[in-house]
Amino acid sequence: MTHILLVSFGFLAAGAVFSVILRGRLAKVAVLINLSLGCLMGLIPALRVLTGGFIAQFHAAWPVPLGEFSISLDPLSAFFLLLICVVSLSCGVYGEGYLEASHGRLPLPAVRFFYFLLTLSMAMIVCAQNAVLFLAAWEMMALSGFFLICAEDQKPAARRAGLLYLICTHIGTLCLFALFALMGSKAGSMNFTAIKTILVNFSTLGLNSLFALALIGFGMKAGFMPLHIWLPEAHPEAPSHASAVLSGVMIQMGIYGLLRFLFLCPSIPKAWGFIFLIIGVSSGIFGILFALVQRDLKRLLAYSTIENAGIISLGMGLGCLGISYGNNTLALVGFTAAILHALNHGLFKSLLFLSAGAFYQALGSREIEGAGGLAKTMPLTSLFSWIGAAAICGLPPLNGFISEWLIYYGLIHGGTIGRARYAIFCVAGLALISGLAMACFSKAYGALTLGKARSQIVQNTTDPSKLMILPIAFLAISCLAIGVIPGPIILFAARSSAIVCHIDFQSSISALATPMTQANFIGILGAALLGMAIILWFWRSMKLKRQKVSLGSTWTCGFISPTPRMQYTASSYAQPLARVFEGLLQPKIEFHPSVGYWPKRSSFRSDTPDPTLDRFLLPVFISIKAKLVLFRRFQRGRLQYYLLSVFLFLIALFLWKL
Amino acid sequence: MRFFEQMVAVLILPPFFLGIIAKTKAAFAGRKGPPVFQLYYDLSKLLNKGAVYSETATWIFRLGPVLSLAALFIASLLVPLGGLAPISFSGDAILFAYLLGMGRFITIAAALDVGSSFEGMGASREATFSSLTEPALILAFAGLALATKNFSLSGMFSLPIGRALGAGTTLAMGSLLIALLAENSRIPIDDPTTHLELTMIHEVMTLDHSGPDLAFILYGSAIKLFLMSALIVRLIVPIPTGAAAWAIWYGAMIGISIGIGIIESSLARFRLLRVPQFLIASVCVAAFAVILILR
Repeated sequence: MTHILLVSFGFLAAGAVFSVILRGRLAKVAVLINLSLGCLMGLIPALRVLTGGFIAQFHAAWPVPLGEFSISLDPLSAFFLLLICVVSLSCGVYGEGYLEASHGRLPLPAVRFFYFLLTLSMAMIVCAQNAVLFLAAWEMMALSGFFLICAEDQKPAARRAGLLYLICTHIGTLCLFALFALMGSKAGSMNFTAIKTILVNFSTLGLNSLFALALIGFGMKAGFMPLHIWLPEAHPEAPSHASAVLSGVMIQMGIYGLLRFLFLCPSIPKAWGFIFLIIGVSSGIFGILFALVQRDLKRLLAYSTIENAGIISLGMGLGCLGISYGNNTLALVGFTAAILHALNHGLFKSLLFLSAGAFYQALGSREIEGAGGLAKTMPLTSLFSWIGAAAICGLPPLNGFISEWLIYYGLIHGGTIGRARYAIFCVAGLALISGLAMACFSKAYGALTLGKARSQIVQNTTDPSKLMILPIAFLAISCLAIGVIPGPIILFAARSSAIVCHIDFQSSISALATPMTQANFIGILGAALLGMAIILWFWRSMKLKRQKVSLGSTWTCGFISPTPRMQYTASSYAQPLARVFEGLLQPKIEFHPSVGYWPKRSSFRSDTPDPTLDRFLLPVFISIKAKLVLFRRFQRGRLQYYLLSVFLFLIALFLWKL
Repeated sequence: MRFFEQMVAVLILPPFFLGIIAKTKAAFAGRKGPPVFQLYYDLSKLLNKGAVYSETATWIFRLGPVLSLAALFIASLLVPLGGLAPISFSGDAILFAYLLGMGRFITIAAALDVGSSFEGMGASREATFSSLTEPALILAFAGLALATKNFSLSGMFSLPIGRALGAGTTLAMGSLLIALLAENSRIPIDDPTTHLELTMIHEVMTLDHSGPDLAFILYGSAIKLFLMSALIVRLIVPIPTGAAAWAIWYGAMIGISIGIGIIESSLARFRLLRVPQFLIASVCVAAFAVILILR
């Protein structure tokens, strides 16, 4: 079985090589074949492990000091490998159609090569059992992401985004180096099994400092709130299929890292759970609030990724609290919800990014405001984007609801356990996040697809090619399938969470029996909802067959001569809600009213800069630079001054030694 | 048997209680008001009419009334009317809240579909107010779940009379009452009888629907009011078993409808900028309820 995993790695590597060597149609065919074979073969061992099988470890020597090429697949790794394979395959197939339709705007060999490297490195991260291999794959993933973001490097915005991403990811990697160095030096070896045994001897202070390092390192990748600054800049600039993988899967690598770290820890202090809860609620609320006021579709989706990272963190917080207080049900429910939401987010976020790419290619711009009426010219894309929007808002009968419901279940059941009951206030936070998500996505897709066209561009738009539509359709159908039949997927997630909680699978199944039956109930009720809607639709058509049905212009109580400019724009739709949360958003408004008796030109511009980046970090760095400018006095440019300062420094050293 | 009785009750009863509210408001205004069964006559008239669809509208406009009514039917299976609900499991309160949310989402989408400023304004305000109401509703459910140690709607709303008068649960009930007023577009948040600019929230989202679509929407709003009043009745009045149970339940529901009519007639609609503050206040009330119950 392990050999199948290695063969799939081989296919992905071969695909990377072929995409550089070959050109034209041959390259496209080779890429599709290698990607499909690589991902499908990766699925086989993943599914085998998730259904209770067991695959052997694989060791090979590696010349890197302390490094060992040892990979294995336990259920935690297998679940994330499943996510990687499914999403990467869909986005890769879409990517071929997208690159074809981009007509030379993007460098084809580079994008394909780094896409394969990204997939390969993420697969190696989840399989790695040696810290050096883990870090090498992590760095490879980060660099592939960087090159994908800078694919259109003639644009200054893309270069800036890439640079910001590179700085942030290397800060995270630095913390990870420190983390694994601390653990490995105590253990004497960098293998995860050795680290796990040695962590038992760490003091609480040691464990807490390791946790802080892990939180910054993995949290930077996962997009938790104060560390999220690279996300809204970087994800819009990458090509759409790459954005989908960056947002849907690479984020989850940060989550996987945190889960693996929690797995390695022998015990979990109570504070960690509360820290995750606080990060969860704040990331969730800030993320979706800032998504609400964006005008760029992909930037909106990027902020919404921050929100979902917050929801996953809520689940992890519940799990940690369950482990700390010794309540198996709470621990399992929390981690199962977090892991399941990671998969769900991968599916619906990539769906939304892929359809955003289709809209971008059709309209030529990522702005939400100039469109409208796309549901008529691009019906399939609009249909699937609405399904994705309903999924991300957590509405039944789709998959987002199942994981959010599990988190609610955990929060309320935690209300009976010690200090953990204070977690119940997160219920209000989660409900607010859902409500804001509904407002945000109805704004985005309402302004894009519904109503009358606001500009001429809309008339020439059509649905994208089959290569692009089929993956989008597949992802939408899988969202619906998981929403209606959640049982098997929850079982897989439960197997993974049992690993993190150090509980064997049989007892975890009995602890999770109640939530799982109820999730199945919810699936059945979701199917009943769809069935009832179909029945009502047919009853209505029957009733209307005998009556007169006609088309007319929009009535609205006497609309005499409607123009498209009378419609609500996306910004005006979000304005009441943005005003309620003005204190958190702090928008920058430039308003030049017309003065005088006769109306003259006036202008209005509102912007919502990112709080951490534009309002905190940039001023701090500018003031640091201003203070450091004082040191320029030492750089006079004349050789005599430098010789004098060296001489003075030597004298100071002598005096000190005396 | 319980399933059958509940479906019959949900199918037949809701328009009657809207009629009672209208009669109460008319009595306050010194009018006779429409007959109590007026909504039944309206629904049967609308179901036999044709429809005019806007050229701008797409399949979402046609899906809106159907999906929201279907969501309300499924939600009605979870609500305990006289006894236990036909379908009850731990965590169904969240499913109830999110089914209402699904109905709201598709109604907002259908409103944006016609490309008119009226419906757009209604959709925008509805999105704002509902995102502030949901935390209050779900926190109130959470508080009641903690008080009864039971997370299903049937379990949560079966408090014995002594516990029901406790401080925490009374606050939760107040928060639920405000959520009822907000979700069902009652004064002081919205005026259900007009769709003019001042009160352009719920009524205006449905301006372009006609014929059976409008019947579905009116019927759906009657069902939503009926379900939420039934939940509040369960908190206030303990339901004994036996033959007196139905009579007491009907009396209590009529009492709640009259109460809603009194609230609507004695208050004016809040200034639009004050409504979010009012809803955030209800979230705080629900939070206080949870704090009191946690101790």
